[in-house]
Amino acid sequence: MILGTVVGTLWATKKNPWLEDLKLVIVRPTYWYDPDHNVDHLVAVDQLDTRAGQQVVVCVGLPGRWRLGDDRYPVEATVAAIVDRIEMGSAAEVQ
Amino acid sequence: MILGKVIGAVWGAREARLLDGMKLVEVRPVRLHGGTGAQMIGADLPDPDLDDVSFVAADMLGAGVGEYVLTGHGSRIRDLTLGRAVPTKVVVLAIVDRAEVQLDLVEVGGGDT
Repeated sequence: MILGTVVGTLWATKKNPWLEDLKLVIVRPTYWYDPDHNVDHLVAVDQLDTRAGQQVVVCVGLPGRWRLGDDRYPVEATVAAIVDRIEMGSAAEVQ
Repeated sequence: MILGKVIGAVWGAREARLLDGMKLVEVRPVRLHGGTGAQMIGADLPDPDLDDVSFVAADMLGAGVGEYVLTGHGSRIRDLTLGRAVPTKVVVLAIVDRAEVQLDLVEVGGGDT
């Protein structure tokens, strides 16, 4: 799981049938997490109805599909939790 | 999954078996950077910043050059969409009509590549 901030939403009408009725959000990861693709955002399925600006925990990979209740969803990332509060130790500042 | 722009179509006279007849597109990811207000992203709107890297994705939805797409990455996504035997690891999952990014929030996230 990774920590990130919801920065946007996207809409698509033509899509894989499994993605029908799933809300998608654009998430900016808080820390680098060594993804397959070397880019600065990820798109995640959102079933918690997040708003832009909210910090979230995103489940990546198979657990993200479990979160949707079926591991046949062709989905890489799912919002697992909306963060209320974070308490970081001093190690977090050395980034 | 990531958001990117289709910058070209790729054709091969000789393709690996099972890639036959599959459309291939060159995709460049959208790069987020801070700013003010909201930025709308769409095929008919001014370009956002795009990443320096690009990749080839298998496309079953008929994405055209200039359109924005959602791509899924990895062998599991490939297995679940195109099938196990198809020799690709990047798949177009959706053609994106519109994306909206709150630029003032982007800096908060960090996430430098």
